[in-house]
Amino acid sequence: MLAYAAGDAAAFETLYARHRGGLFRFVLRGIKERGIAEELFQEIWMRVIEARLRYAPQARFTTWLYTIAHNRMVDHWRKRGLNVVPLGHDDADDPAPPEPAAEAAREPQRQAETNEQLERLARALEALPPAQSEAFLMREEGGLSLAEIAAATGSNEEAVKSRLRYAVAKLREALDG
Amino acid sequence: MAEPEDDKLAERYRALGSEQPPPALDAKILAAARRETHLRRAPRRWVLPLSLAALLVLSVSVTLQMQHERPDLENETAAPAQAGKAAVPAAPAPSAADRAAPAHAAEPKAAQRAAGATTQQGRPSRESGAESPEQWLARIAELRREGHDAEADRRLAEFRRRFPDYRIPQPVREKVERR
Repeated sequence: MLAYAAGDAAAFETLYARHRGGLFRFVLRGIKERGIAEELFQEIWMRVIEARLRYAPQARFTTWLYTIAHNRMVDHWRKRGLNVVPLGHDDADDPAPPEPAAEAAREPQRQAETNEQLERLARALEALPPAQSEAFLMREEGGLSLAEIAAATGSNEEAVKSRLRYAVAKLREALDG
Repeated sequence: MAEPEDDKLAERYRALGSEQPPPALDAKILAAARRETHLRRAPRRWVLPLSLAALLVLSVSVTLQMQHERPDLENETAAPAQAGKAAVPAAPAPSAADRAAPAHAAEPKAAQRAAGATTQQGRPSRESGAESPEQWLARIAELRREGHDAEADRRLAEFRRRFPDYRIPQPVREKVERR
C-alpha cells in the first residue's frame, strides 16, 4: 500500500488481485443483493484509492481494508434502516429426510445430501445477525484474527469472540441438519 | 477456534462458492487506481524543476545585489575606521525616504555620499590610489632614516592633518618624529 501511495500503480494491482475475491464475497454475503454488493465493492476500493496518502502501516493492510468495508456496509444498513436485526432460522424450510436409496443411486444421493447441506449452510449464514455474519466472514474471507476483527469493527475481542461462537454454533447446527 | 469442527465448517463454507467481481468492475477499479497515480505524479514532474529554477534565480539575484551594494558598503564602513568620528556627520545613515527609494535611485545617492565624505575630509580614498596611514608613516620613517628631516617634518604635519584621529604607536613615533 505504501508503494501505491508513493505512485506505484502496479502495487495496487497486486493488492487488488490478492483481496478482490475475499472482499467481494464478504460484501456479497453480508449485503445479499448482487447489484448493491457490486456498488459497495467499488466504493470500498475507491475509498482505498482516495485514502492511500493517509494510510499509516499501524495495522495489516487487510485490517485497514476490512475496516473501510465495515464502515461502508454500516452506512448502507443505516440508510436502509437496517441496523443489527437478529433473524431466526426457520427449520420448516428444511427438506424432508431422504428416502432409503438403492445401491446404484448411492452416489447421486450423496451429492444431493451435500447440496442440501450447503443450502442449509447458505440459509443459516444469511439468517445470522449482521454482526455475527460479519465476524464470521471477516475470519473466513479476510483471514482476520479476533483482535483484527475487533479493530476493524470498532469492537472488543470479547464481543467478537462471543459473536463468532454464536455464528459458528448456528452454522454447525445447519450443517448437521 | 482451530477445532476439527471449525475446519469442517470452513471447508463447507468454501464449498458454497467462490464468487468473483465481474471483469468490468475489476477494470473500472484498476483504471481509477492508475488514473489517481498519474494525477498525483503530474504535479511532481514539474514541481522539482520549478523549485530548482526559482532557487537559481533567487541565488543570482542575491549575488548581483550584493555585488551592487559592496562598493557602497566599503565606503560607509571604511570611512569611520580611517577618519574616526569626523567622518560620521559626512556619511549619515540613509533616511527612511532613501531606504524606501528604488535601488536605481539609491545608487547615485550612495555614490554622492561616498564622494562627499572623501572631499570634505580631504583624505584620499582607495579609488584615488592614495596611501594608507601606515604607508605614510613608513615613508616618513624612511625619510627620517635617510636624514631628510625637513621633508619628514613636512610629511608628518601633513599626515596629522589628514589623519587627525590616528594614534601613532610609540615604537613608530620614535622612528617618524625628529629626535
